[in-house]
Amino acid sequence: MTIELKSISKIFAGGSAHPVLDDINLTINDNEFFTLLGPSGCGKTTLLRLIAGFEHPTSGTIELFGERVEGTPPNARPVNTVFQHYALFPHQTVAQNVGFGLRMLRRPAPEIEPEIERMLRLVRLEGLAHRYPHQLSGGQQQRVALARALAARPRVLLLDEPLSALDSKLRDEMRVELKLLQRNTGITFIFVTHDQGEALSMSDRIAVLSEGRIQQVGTPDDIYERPRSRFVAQFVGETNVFEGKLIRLPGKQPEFKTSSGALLPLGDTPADDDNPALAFVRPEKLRLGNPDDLASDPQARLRGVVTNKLYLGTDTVYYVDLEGGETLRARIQNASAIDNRFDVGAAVRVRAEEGAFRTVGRST
Amino acid sequence: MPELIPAPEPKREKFPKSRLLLLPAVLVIGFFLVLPLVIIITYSFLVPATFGGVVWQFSTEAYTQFLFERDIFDETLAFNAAYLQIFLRSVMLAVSATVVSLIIGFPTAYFIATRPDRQKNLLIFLITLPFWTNLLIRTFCVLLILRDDGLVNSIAIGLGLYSTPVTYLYNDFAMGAGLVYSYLPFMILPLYANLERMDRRVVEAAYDLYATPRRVFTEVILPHARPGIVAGSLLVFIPSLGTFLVPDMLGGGGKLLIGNLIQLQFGSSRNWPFGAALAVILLAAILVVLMLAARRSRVPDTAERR
Ligand SMILES: Nc1ncnc2c1ncn2[C@@H]1O[C@H](COP(=O)(O)OP(=O)(O)OP(=O)(O)O)[C@@H](O)[C@H]1O
Ligand SMILES: [Mg+2]
Repeated sequence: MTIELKSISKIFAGGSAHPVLDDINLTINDNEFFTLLGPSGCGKTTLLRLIAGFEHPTSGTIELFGERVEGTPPNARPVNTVFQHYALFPHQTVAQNVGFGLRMLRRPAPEIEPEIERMLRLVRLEGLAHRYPHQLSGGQQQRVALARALAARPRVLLLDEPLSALDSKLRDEMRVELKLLQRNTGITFIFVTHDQGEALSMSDRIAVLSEGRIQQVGTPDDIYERPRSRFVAQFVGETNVFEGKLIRLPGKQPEFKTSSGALLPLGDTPADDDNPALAFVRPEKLRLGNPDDLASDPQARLRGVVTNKLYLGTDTVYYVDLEGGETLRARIQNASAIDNRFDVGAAVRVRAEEGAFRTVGRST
Repeated sequence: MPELIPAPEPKREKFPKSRLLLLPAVLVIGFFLVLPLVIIITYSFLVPATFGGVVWQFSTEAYTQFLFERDIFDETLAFNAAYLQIFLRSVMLAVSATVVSLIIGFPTAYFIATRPDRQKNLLIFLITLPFWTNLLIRTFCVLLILRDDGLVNSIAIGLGLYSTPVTYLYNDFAMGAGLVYSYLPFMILPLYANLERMDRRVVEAAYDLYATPRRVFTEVILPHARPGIVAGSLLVFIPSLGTFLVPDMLGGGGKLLIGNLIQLQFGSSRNWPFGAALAVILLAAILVVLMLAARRSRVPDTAERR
């Protein structure tokens, strides 16, 4: 176990009385790519700062590699940070920035030089070694920050939205690069992002945060397919949400009756979800069909009219107004020419695979 | 890319009208800075009149006088280090005052810069408060504090540190203390302005990368503070070098500094050209220091621009 956070709470002196972090319990494993995902202001940076040692928890304990670290200053923790705002040393060149950690560790110069070069090659900044930070673009600065934190070979690397300033192509490349790097070095990564795509594609596990609380911890698949709260279902990926209540009839599959009266077929509902108040379905799990063709299909009982259509190339997103009044989005992959065939105004039936509709409680 | 076709020279008016906008600035600089300087330099090459003032006759006597003594009988020159000594003593004292101000001023400025905003403003206000009283009165206060039955002796004797008053006044220590007391705010203010702008996150980044507090200071804070240190040091050093109040009041008038010497030439000695020459020498010395300072602070200066 690399990091154990036990009932961590943080209230800033002089800040609001509402805790910025509220009873956080987390275990992060060795060699894990662990992501903290949450909207702006939910406390992600604060949590990283607690682990790095810049802030102290108001209550709770932090253990690094089995040892409590309350009294350990940041420079004595085997943890390096890629800061959200880079925080490069303005009076040092790129190369000096990257070599800073190794110099502080008093490594001999002949050892540091090749390491700097290696790191700069990794982040593709070989040519800029002698520039000063103010002579770099935002994305270049971010990569220097990454190289600087990595060069010192931490056991844990904290990354605070390290890809946010990059253009989308470079970001995609760096995602793959980072993931490979993490796997090859065996360094535990704690990666902060508010981009769910980033979180899903890179992480071994994700913790979803909202307003200082952990909503759910799990693998990307867990988080996306089996969200346990409305927040997680809506924050991660696109979702159609319905209010209503569960109907269980003996000898029949459970169903969800929406407030407008539509009946949604449910798969196996988890036992702890006894009184769900919301049902949801991912747009890509829906199919549309001709009302007549699907009339007898038990999975296609929802009927509606296409009211809007967004052609995205790979997919088309259809907005379907259901009979009861709810609007539903269905994302249909354009695998062949006939897939893009419903026009605005067309009457359709919506078909969902068994288990596509899921439920969560109202309170969560 | 080689430039094959030279770009056409933009047509320039001989005297663009926009230059006229510079006129007020040029006039102010000319009237208040250049003109007095020209007068001083001119006077330093003239012959003193018996009762003050000058005789309009070219002479380098004033400068010769600084280093040499002219024998009254056979007009031969003998090297005389007396004035040079006064000059060097002044420099030493000014350097000491600057160093002490820096040692006291840096932690103070850093402390203030890291307080919350409201405290900052109050503390800076307190730092500037002494400026509201006249320098003469402030120097007199130092006298009151340091004299035999002054504050320092009373407290030390009250605490039983010693029983007979120690003489703090009328020596180099008293002059140094007076200079530090007078000019410390000049050190603190530029340092504060500099440190206040420092990005605290950069300090955190250094801590994060295994720097001990000491190395955070030498690697991150000090390079950032360098322009502030240079500015503060100059602001303390320059008036310290030219001071005449402090040696008069706290030095007891026994040991001259260059400031007194100049003052004397325009006063009782009635040797205006020599006074002007001394002022020019002092100015030249300060210019050399300024140029060195400018060269040293250039590198971080460019690195700071964003
Ligand atoms: N030093 C502080 N004093 C008072 N409140 C603070 C302090 N630092 C952060 N906060 C508050 O704590 C909350 C969480 O801040 P934090 O920086 O951890 O958010 P974040 O999740 O990293 O957001 P973002 O995605 O925008 O970076 C915010 O509401 C912020 O205003
Ligand atoms: Mg943040």
